[in-house]
Amino acid sequence: MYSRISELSVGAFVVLGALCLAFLALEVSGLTQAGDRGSYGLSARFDNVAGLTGRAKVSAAGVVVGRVINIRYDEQTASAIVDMEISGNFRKFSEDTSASILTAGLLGEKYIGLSTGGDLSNLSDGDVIYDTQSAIVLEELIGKLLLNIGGDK
Amino acid sequence: MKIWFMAVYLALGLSMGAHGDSNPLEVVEPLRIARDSFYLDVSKFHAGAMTERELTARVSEQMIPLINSKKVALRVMGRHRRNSSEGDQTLFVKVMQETLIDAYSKGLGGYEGEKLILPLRAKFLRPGMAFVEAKLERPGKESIPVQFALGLDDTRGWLIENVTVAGINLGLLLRDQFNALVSSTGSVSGAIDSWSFTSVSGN
Repeated sequence: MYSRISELSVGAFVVLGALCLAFLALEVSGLTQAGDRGSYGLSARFDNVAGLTGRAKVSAAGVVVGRVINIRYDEQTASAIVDMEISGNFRKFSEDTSASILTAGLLGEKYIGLSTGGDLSNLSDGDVIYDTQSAIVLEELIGKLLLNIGGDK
Repeated sequence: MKIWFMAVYLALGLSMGAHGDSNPLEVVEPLRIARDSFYLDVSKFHAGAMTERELTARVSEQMIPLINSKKVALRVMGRHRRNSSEGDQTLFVKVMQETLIDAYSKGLGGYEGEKLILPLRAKFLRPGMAFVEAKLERPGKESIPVQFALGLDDTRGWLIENVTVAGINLGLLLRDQFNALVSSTGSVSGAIDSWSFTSVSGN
């Protein structure tokens, strides 16, 4: 009897552990947030999206307001276009809103930060954000630093 | 920090001649003329033929009509614009103009023969908006990409609205600085009072 209870406890513990792992995986990957009915699409043009992936968070003032749904290359302008799905609860992004690729956490997870501008009219479904700050590439940064140090000598 | 001054004042020089053009591609030739006249002004200044005050006054007269100062200023105010008074907004546009002139003047002091290579290509993003990509060549150092965002104003033609230097969006950088000033002073008017190019570039 005692052995059966012990086995059941171990089994329950393993199942609980597996559930926790699954929850963690879903949270990290962003798959838990299903698109809400009132959501709308915005795009942003970046010169460099290094490290940004699909399902990455889109946040404004630290609050998650949407997700990246697609990243594509625009051959005409030789830049990256990031398509985002923004929750319908957040609609007051001015037309001159800026988008930056930022880094969160120790793992260096990339996400998009929106910074509202001063325009009184707001972005709507299908609009494109052109005022952007691309991803900082560490190698380029180090290269520039080394060249500047060398040049100053 | 000198490179910021350089980029800003060359950006201001770049805008000269762009007024009235309806197509960013047609801006290229006047830009070359503007750039060369800019070099001439700098050489006069360094030769002592023009005082800093005279140069600043000249720049002020030429520059202000060629930049969309209102749009730049309101963008920098960002989300705080909606909670600010008309008076604050008007004041900040004026302060921003003074900031740009100040940046131009300070940039002149750090000029070391940099050359602005015009433009590699113009990108048309949508009607009324274009990017011009240029390059700032520095003697003995790596060149820096400079990108100008131009907007078509109904009455004033193509005007510079933002500058990105080496991938850093200056408009966004200034907006962050304005946000920081609002947080530290506790109000929009407090941020405007303490705003100056020295204060924001020194951070």
